[in-house]
Amino acid sequence: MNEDEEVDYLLNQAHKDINAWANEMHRAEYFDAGTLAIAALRRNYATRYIAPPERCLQTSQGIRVVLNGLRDISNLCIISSEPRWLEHSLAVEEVWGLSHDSTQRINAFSNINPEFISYCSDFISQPLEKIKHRFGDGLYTSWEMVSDSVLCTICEKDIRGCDHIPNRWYRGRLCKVRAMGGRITHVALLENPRDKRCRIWPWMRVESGESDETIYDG
Amino acid sequence: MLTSQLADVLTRIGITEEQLKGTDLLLLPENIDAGTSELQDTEESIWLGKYLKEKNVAVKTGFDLGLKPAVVERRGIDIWLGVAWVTNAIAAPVIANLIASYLLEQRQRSQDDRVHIDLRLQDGKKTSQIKYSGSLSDFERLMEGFTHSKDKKLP
Repeated sequence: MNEDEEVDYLLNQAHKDINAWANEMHRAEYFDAGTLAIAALRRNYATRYIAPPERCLQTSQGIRVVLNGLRDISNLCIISSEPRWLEHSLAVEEVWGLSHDSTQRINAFSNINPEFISYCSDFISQPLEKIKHRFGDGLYTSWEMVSDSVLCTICEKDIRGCDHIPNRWYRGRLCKVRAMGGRITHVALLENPRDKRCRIWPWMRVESGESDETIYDG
Repeated sequence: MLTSQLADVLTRIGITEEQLKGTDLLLLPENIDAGTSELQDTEESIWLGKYLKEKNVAVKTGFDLGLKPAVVERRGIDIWLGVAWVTNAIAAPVIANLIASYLLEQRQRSQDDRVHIDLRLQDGKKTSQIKYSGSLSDFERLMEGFTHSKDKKLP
């Protein structure tokens, strides 16, 4: 197969795998749907099966990220389909984390149909609404970090001085940024964090005299 | 010879007028006026600089000019863009459009997200300045006004 054929093959295979997942989700068979996503990840897109060229690697990487997102959605549906899940702090935290993980993952691959993203979002939004109703909008920890420099993982130079762009692929390698000499200068409580996985839950409040009213937001 | 707010700032940080030739926009550390020993680039201003360079804007950052500012990363949802100093007034409308596009398209931001930018326009010796902290939607409107203003000056 040439490069185009191989990319088409991967996308067609992903289409079948995602449809199979969606069918199980539609039937509320969340465990089976999650198992399908995991099996597809291991069977079809494992790195050992995908050879260069670069577009094939990028495509398989993108599909893997989406399938991980679908697995997350299945898992959060398994937990949130239990009638009393909101009464268990670990279940709430897990659903919260999976909701944001899966949202990030299914939006990460440009080849995904927006209608399918909307279909997935329905599974995510329902437990989030329940969490909001029970615990409010929440408070979040936020920090500010100052670094001496930020290195590009492609050329190992300061990213401000090179032409590489973070989250782009260069000869099969993804450009990332690595902060050097970092130190945290502030920690704050916020209502609008960049990453909502840093939520402070009511059960995290510390019963220590003067400071016990800062966390509860229900 | 520049005799302006821009010249004062450049002199203070050791940048010569010669280094600015052909530059339409300077992206400078957010605390460039504070006189602190540790200048700070915001993380978002670095990505904005890279975006504008890809769009062929004649932009230079403090790093390009030989400074080695520290980099501040804030984990809130607010967008901190530091100091954006338009040194060529004719290029201002294009730059304003591109900054608005960057925020909306590249960063996939919500209209409610807050933007913090110290926007300055150099027109000869005169410097106009807006320190903006507000919603992205209002910032968009500000940039539209900036783009359509006949005299290319900040309101």
